[in-house]
Amino acid sequence: MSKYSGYMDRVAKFDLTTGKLEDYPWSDKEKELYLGGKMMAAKILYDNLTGKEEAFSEENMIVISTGPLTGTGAPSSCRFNISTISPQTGIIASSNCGGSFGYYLKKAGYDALILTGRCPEHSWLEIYNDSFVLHNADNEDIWGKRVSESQEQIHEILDRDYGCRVKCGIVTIGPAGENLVRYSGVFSQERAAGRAGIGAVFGWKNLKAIAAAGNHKTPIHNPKKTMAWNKKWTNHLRNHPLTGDQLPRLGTAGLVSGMQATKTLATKNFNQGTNPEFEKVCGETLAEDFNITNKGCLACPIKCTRTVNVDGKEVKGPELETLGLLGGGILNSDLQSILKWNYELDELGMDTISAASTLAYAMEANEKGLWDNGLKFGETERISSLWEDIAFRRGIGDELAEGSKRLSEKYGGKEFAMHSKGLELAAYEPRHSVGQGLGYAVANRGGCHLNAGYLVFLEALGLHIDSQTPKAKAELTMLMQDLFESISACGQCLFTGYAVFPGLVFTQPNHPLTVALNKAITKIGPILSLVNKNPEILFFPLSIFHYDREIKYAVGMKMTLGKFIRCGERGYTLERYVDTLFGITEKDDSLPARLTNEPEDPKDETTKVPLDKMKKAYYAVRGWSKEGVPTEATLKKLGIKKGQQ
Amino acid sequence: MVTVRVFGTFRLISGVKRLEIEPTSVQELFELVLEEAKRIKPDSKLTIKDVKSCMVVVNGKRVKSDAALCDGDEVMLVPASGGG
Repeated sequence: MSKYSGYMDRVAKFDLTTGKLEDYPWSDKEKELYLGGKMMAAKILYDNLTGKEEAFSEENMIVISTGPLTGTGAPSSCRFNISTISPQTGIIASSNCGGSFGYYLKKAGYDALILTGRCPEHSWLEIYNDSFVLHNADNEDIWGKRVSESQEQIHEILDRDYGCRVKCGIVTIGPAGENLVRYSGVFSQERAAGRAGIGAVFGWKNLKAIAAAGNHKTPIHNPKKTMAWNKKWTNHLRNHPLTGDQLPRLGTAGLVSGMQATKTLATKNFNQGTNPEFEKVCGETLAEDFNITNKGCLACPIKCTRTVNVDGKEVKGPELETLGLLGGGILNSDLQSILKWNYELDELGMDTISAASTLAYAMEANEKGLWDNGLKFGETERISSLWEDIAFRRGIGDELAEGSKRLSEKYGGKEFAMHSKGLELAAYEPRHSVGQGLGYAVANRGGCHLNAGYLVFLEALGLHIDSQTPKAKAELTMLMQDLFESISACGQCLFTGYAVFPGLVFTQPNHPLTVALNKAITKIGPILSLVNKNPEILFFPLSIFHYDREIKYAVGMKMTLGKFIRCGERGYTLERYVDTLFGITEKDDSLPARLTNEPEDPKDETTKVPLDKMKKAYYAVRGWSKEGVPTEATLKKLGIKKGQQ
Repeated sequence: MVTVRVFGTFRLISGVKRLEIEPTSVQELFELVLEEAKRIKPDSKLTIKDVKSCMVVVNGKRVKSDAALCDGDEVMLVPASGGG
């Protein structure tokens, strides 16, 4: 029995081929080292590597994992993670999701679910406590359904079978996952584990959906102190200018105007960092003319989700990435069309980032005469039917379903296929935020803005540190990546991380303290490096850093800021190490040549990403070799055994 | 004439989206924007501090709060934002 609360102390391993269910060992030591979520998933994938894993292979596992804070009442703590080998990148895909599934997986009694093998027929999996039942998804008319229809149908079946309303969490794929679109996602309610093609792995395994329910309760170490701390933390989030004001009022869509102001709004397939028409497709216009209300995931006081009207239905509105990439990204300034496409892509079960970026690549390839596909920037009439063609792999859609990397290998134009390691970049143009450029290139799962460390927040949108200097960007990237890694592993939304910064630095940009902070950060690389190497020096509690005491009160685990960062480093490094076992090297930590060779502003040579210089510094601060592989000393320091596979 | 476009939560709260005014400095611009916000919503509790919470971008370049302004300048007022 575990000495820690917060965990259900049980991990289920289920073989989809045979239907065999067994317990998978997950020790207290592993809980201390990897917390949960994506770090736990990386450890499980690593421990089970056979060397035969490919995205579409029986050896490829899917690990769905929760964090110890999910179910404890901690604010914004319902998130769960899905990791597997990605059909887009061929390396670990970790994709994080809100919605309700994580909470209900713990209600069923599990911290994580490991899926192996492949269902012999189209199936969906019902989990109720110890009972795992594979249903035939064709007979029950679920295979082929869109995302919301699939969830409704499963709810109806469960209600009918149990004779009452069954409270459960569901994850499902849409037609895109069934048809192996390489950027299809997995959905829980209206939220998505959208990135890196996890939906296609479900589809290949003939697994349409999973429903989880049960009557377990997450144990809490000290309920009284946990409840008091949750209340304090929730109040802090509600009173913070970003988590209590900007995100509830504008959602992530509120970033568009800031990105325009700082030239970080990718426009026309990253040809430029500003969009003259941005005001027609920004968060403020969305809020004023289209937003019905805002809502949030379970236990979340931030409530960043937009609710909009599409064809008479109240549905989830677009996030910043979708607004940016399906707006200026393809020279479209019709906001109503983006609301509709966002809904259509969600229903078909596709990642809006990769879908939009692949479309932008195709438009530019057509414009440059490389691929005669009829797609043009600014012409949007065909796009709704194009999403259908992609999801069902019809005509040109069958090609677009492969993503920008594979298309550029076929048709040319690698310099403007905007991906890294096969995963398309988000809507942030990095040539006016070079630290973000470094992050995109080195991120474990490919061109992801969050896995990158999200330095655009420090360089342009929240703080205003020097956005063009390479100085201290390696150190900051490592620090932010490691912090994000641990926040995510707890089951927490990364947005809670904004409230670690004092509100003053956002509400008073001209205050001497804010100005001094912005100036100082890029000059203290050596200090940041010292912290990265020895995070344990941060052993003291900080009133604004809430995670350590939440873990102490809810889980009963000793935690400090330094230990938290070290856990993140361990998880991040392990994931990287696994990626290197799959053949990732320094050469793969790359960006399209457009971003490294062509200045965004032709008159200003600093407006391109000095990647090579920053990458060398990054490998050095991480303790990786020049080839980008974690050294034996680094692995040993972090307690990672070398040489599996 | 200086064209000012306002964004972020300040825009939603104040109701000020766009205005054409004749300030000679950013400080003066802050005051004129607040004046407009008070005109649109007389009961609002907005103060000069709220206007000053915005980053000031003039003709695509971020400027300090003591910068001067010229006829024809295009100004964006944008508060800090987070997301992902």
